[in-house]
Amino acid sequence: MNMIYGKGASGGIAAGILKIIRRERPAVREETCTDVTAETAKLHAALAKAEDELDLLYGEAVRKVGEKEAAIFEIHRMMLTDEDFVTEAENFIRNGHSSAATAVRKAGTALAEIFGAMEDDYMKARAADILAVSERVTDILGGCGGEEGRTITVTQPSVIAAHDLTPAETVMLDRKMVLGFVTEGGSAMSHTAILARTMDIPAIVAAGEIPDRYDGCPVVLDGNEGVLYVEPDEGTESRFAEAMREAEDERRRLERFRGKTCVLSDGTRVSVAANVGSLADIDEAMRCDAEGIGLFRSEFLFMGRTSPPTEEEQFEIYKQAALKTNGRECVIRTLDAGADKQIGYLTGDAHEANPALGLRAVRLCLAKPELLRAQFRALYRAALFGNLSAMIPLIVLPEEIREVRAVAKAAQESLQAETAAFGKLRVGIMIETPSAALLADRLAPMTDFFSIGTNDLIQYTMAADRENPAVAYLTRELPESVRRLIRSVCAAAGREGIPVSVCGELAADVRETKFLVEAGVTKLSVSPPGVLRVRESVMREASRLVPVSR
Amino acid sequence: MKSMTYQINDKNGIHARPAGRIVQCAKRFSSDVTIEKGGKTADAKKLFALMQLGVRFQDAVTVTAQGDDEEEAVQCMYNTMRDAGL
Repeated sequence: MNMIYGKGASGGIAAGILKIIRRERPAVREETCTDVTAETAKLHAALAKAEDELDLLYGEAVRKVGEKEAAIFEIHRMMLTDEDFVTEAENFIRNGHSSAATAVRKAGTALAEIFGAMEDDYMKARAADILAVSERVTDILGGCGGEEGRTITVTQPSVIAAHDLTPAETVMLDRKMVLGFVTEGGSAMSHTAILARTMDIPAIVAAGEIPDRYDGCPVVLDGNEGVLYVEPDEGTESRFAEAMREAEDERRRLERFRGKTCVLSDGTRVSVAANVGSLADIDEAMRCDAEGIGLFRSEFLFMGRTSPPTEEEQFEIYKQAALKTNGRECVIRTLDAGADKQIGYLTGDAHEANPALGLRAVRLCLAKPELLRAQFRALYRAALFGNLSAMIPLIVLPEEIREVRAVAKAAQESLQAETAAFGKLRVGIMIETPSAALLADRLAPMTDFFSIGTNDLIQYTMAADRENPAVAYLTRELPESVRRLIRSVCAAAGREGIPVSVCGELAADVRETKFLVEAGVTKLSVSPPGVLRVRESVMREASRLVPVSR
Repeated sequence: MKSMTYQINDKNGIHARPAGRIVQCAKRFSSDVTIEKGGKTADAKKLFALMQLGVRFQDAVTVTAQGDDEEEAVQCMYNTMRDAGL
């Protein structure tokens, strides 16, 4: 057994065969040019292409790891257009007659060295970002650009080893094939490490040289401690096997709840659905046995591009979503942009002092009714292919529902006039503001269902930003004020006979399952991996529930 | 000329993400916008220059704008830095 010590960058344990990835890169050569003008034009064309690539990558990353972590690719794009970087590269061409590729490499290396020499560990780690960006440009200049060429493909489940992975390579890893990864270089502060944590891939960085002879050896990767065991001895293997078995036992325990349905003693059915942000997520949700999609975030359709998607593009996606949900209900939330989800061409440059309280979600849609109309037309057409519902975010007043319904009606009438085919679409609203919760009795008759967005409801009720650790104590436990709001929302919905679901993080908090179900919530929508755990909780904690097989 | 001082409350200082936000904000204005820390000054429209200032937790920085829209620029910088959690 050999042990390689590095830094644990992403927790968890992986065991499998080690696959060492050594990428063939064109040898670094000093190249010169004769035509400065032509070479400068080549440089700018490559920079523009790299920008396009990063735009696409950003969209892909949003889908896979969410906007917060995807922001790194936006930063990469900004690095690419930074005046200092571009001017430096231009100077190498003009004054040193370097080729565009050599100029980019020199400019990138010079900047990376400056960052690498900084005192701050965080800033030191940014050198890797700069090198990744300049490498992207030199790849394009060398004729091997594009994400496909850069993506690491593994054909059987393995632990992979590489000199280093860029954030782009990391976000594109196939989670099913890559059990874990170890890099010779890198740092736990790198964006690669952050992405590995978000993607839940056990990882070790800064492991030092990994000899090629280890390729194909069985390994155990301990991402918690940062140790790679090559050809592990029996004791080591059994120790980690134990830990993995425990995780496996839990998985198996939860498997018993697959295919089950929770029905209360009065016959009410409580379903556990999934929250998703892409079509791929729906596949995962179905694998996790979700009873439908309780929240499909339509934002991803609008991100990573420079203009809104056409009705046709939206129709295709919603149709696929309806089909993939296998006849179960698929609730599509209409565009929820603004606040922490800025979409340049929609939200514009107008600065809001307080974006969480600004022109966002349904307000933005009502300010741009043509946008909402196209979305509704696409939804109505797609509704023909499955069980679709639309859900309106951030309602505060009855008037907003009236306006949205008028847009929906106009969309429907225009389809009728064109004798286009369309289906039946339920329209519900999100209850995520104290105003909506307090007016629930007035809103209930105007809508087909309520879905409580607990993240915003808690934030707005407690006047406490969830991202601000200084005020986290206010929302660590579910506040009594929010409990009261939830109870009264359920009561108002009950009187009107419309269902209530919960699609915020609270739905996945098994300590509160009992409270929610007793209040009258009949659907809990959670991220796909949480479906079985929540179902177990619904069935166990509320003894008055009777499970029946679906 | 308009300026303000701002104390950084983020444990990570001006890290990549807020630096990106600051640059986006500064670029919206025609005024020259700079950030100064300990005698070093960086152009707030340049990402690398800004990150190289190495602004850390509890450092005080001076934001200065000069030009036609200097007032709005400083206001926007303040809002951006605050919203970025700095």
